Amino acid sequence: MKYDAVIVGASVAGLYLGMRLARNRWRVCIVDRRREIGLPVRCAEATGNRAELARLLPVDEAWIAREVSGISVQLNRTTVVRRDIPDAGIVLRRDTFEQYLARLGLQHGAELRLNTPAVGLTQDDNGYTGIRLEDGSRIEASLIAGADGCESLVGRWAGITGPLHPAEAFTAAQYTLKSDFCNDGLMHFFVGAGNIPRGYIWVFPKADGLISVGAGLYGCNHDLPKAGWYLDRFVSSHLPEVKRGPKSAGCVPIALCPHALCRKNVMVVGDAARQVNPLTAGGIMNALEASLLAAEKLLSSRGSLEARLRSYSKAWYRRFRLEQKVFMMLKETYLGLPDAGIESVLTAASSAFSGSVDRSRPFIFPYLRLLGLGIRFLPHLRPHLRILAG
Amino acid sequence: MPAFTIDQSVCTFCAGCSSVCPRQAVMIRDDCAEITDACTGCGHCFQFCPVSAVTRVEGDAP
Repeated sequence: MKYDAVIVGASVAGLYLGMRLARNRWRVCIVDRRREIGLPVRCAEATGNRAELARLLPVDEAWIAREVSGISVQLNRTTVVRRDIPDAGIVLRRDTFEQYLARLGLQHGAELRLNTPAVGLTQDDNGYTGIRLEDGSRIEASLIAGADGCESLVGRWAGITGPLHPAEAFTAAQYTLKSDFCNDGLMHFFVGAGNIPRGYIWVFPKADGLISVGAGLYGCNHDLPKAGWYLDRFVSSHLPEVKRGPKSAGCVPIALCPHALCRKNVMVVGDAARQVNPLTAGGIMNALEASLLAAEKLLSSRGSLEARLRSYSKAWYRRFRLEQKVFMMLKETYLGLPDAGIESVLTAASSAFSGSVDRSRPFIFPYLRLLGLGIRFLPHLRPHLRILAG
Repeated sequence: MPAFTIDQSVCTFCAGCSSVCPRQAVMIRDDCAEITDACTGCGHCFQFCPVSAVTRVEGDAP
């Protein structure tokens, strides 16, 4: 049987893309090397708020672990920002969320094959014809979509993406713990050399009295310990009595997305396409938005499959590339700042957004104040302005 | 023989090492991670691993 689309990777991007296509009567096959959907969870699980998610799919209470009501940033031992932000976002039960997406896809007729590693693309004189599986069998399809995460082998096989340079990866380690520590509905971030240099530590609230505590580093540096080491040091210091479960770890690409997200009849989406915010390393909303965009373009009746894929690639580029560059510039600026500089930037940024921020209503940016901030911190931004031109 | 090896008792199978390997020399499964003979010893996996599960094979040149 030849499918309309074979999708490699049954995580958020792959499942959502598969569901959108299957809903429109595409014959879709989704493969993943994992044995279970959604597990193990390698994610801090914070994402957009209900209204933002409701634009993309029906919100189900089962996959919402906790509402987030604000943000706190602690520099070493001093709290420099603490803001209540109604409807700031939610913390997902990511495994339940992915299982929900998988169920929707199956209901619409998508086929899901777990424990099925793809090992290469197949091609003939006319182009790519499908994927080759580890057991030697093949799946033929008109479209091949790589939603296979940070390591995206599909992207590499088709020449769309290459291996990540270690400097382009956000490496993270995380525990899920039962504790009251910072368990107040806010997202807590800990920065500064006393906590973790060149990264941040997070404490996010979850359901049932749980919190996730993680440490992430921007890029790899031979001279610094690993994310897991900073995490253990933080937990030993702040939560010495708490029993630790297994440590999870993960990798997020913090590179700019490639100029083209497709080649012939192969496309990439989600982390595989580097559709991640380079400052926060968040990618769930981007993966959903990009999958929706790809599905909309693919389902349009205009042009060949390859032309529709190019249309997806261009639309993503137009809509998100500048935003990604701005966050990349901010990340580089952050990494270049000493602790005192981080404190003054955070304090000034917080005051620029004075008053409570209600994300359930359209947000009006304080442009003049932001311009003032840009001018004030121009010496720090200047070395990284070239990112905007790239 | 690969220049690096993965300690299965420490590895979380996050596939980060595979993401940065320029030769696709790391094979990852749910509960197994292995560096194959395609390894050229560049050390990206060693440099990368968030939980220090990748170690240099003793006797190999740095």
